[in-house]
Amino acid sequence: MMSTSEAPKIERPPRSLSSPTLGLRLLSLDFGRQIRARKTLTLVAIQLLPVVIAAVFVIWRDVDGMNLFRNTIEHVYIPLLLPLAALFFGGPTIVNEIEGRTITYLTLRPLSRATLFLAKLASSISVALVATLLPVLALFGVCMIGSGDPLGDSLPMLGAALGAVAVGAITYTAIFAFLGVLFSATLLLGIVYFVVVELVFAAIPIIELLSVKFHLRTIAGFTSSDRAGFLDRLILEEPLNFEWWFGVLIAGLMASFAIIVSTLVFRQRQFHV
Amino acid sequence: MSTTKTTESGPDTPETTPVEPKSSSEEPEGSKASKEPAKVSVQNDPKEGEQVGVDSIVRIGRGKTVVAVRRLSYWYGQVIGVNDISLDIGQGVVGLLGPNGAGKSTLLKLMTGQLRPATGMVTVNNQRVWNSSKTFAELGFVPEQDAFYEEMTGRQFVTHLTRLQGFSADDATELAAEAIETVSLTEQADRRIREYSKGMRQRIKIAQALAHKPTVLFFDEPLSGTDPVGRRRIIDLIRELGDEGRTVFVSSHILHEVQAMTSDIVLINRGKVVADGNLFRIRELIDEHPHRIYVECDKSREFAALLTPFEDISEIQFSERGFFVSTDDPDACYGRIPRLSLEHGFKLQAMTSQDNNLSAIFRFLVP
Repeated sequence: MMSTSEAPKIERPPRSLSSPTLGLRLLSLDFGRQIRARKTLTLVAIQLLPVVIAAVFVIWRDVDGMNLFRNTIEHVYIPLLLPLAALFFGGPTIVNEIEGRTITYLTLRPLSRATLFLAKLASSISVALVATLLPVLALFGVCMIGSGDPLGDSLPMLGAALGAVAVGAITYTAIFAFLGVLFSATLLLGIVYFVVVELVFAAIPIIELLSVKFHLRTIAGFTSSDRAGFLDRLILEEPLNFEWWFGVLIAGLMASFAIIVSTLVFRQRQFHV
Repeated sequence: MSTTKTTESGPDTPETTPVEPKSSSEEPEGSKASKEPAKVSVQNDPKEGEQVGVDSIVRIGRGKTVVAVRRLSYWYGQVIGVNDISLDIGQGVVGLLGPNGAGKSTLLKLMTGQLRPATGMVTVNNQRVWNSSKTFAELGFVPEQDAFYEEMTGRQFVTHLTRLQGFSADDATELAAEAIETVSLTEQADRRIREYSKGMRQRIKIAQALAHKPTVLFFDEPLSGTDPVGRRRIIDLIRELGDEGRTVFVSSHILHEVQAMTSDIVLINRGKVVADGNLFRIRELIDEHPHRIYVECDKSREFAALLTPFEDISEIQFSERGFFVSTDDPDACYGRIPRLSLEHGFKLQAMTSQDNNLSAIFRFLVP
């Protein structure tokens, strides 16, 4: 037994306790865990469904490949599959840890709450990017087969689509993570957000600027053609259209707001698990 | 148990002035401690106008103060979880005892930075715990909840969390293997946690808390769900950690569990420290009062008649299925009942004491 005042002598290997090191480590470990998760495989399978359908059309029907690509991005990926992926990964960023009561283990590591949250969010965004960008690339590949156009002519469209999907994955994931941190429940709130902001608001002139979808369409180079036309005529002479960079700027501001507020809230969160 | 008075010089730098310093060789252990005179401090609510401050700080454990709790309170809405607790905890094993709902888990969550104190503060090695991430490099916690990354193997789980303590992949793997070995789970380390039994899950939780070799450890009900062999191993392990000079704070609502680990205890009830000191002395005090033992056997009345001639028996009261016997010498009576039933061929179905548990201590301490 030791003497009373002697501090325990414990030998252990050297370690780095710097926030960037621990943050990056959490990011990589969490990314690896998420990418191998069954739900990720399920989501990727869902994201690949349009690719399979496109392949059927390209093989058995005479379709314009690039037109098919554009329509699928505009009407399937941006309004539906992209928010779905973000809901899958963004909401559970912290909520899963709280509901699974594993948050205790993470908050007992020597990394700050802010680093912990940002690393987990970065991991979720990374998985969401992989799960959405790869199917878009696959779709492009399939559609290229059905298109007689040279690859060079189609690359700008691919770039715009990838840009919109990437910005969307980041922004939506940040927003859903923000809702998760604020309310510790994601699915129902995420669906409410999606219906109210991304479906209803997105159909109303001016108000549509609050939706992420509007800005993603701007980035992808789509016009506001899916809005109710009579509302446009009541309020505006013609639909609102902006340059792509404006879409990136606004979506970036939305994501930044969500990330900053949720980090500040998470720093003060108490865990009754 | 050494009793000290604390001179408050700010919660970040708790200074202690020992009144009756005790060397480690005098550290109570098991039955040895019960023979030594020990001080027990029973804390009653302060009278109106009485100032609760420096003199009321509980000092427990040996050596320097490692964990300092100052005027700590926590509220769940209108309900108080922890009520103005001040504690100085040194090295060695310290038991936190209290009935269910006494505030043990809340206190541990406050001490490990899961909850933000409503008032007061907790420091570990002179660093505030709340929102001070670096403190956790020296802190290990075995939570009560049965929560894991179920898809991982035990080894992956411990390695994963050890890597987040800043160790390289190789070092974390090695440390995890060592901790898993310590809790005797090496053979099952590569099985998925979802396939683990309750006892194995408990042990892997302990392994994650030990792997980075922290100097301060908190165990919240560490023996729940363990089998007798596993229980013995965990008890031995906790005692070893205390002997190494680490600060080990163990919560439990079961008296004999804590008794097997340490004799230094803090008793809490309704969020307040009601007593601190040597467990064996507290039990001795209780033993000075009559005990009530409930006995259930196939022929209650005949068996009760056998007990009446003994001088220590003061009262026998029959119930529907058995009888209560009041004794002034519980130790003798506990031995006598099974012996007599065996000698006279009675089938003893139950022998329990409402007085030999934590509730009895609380009834004694908190009238």
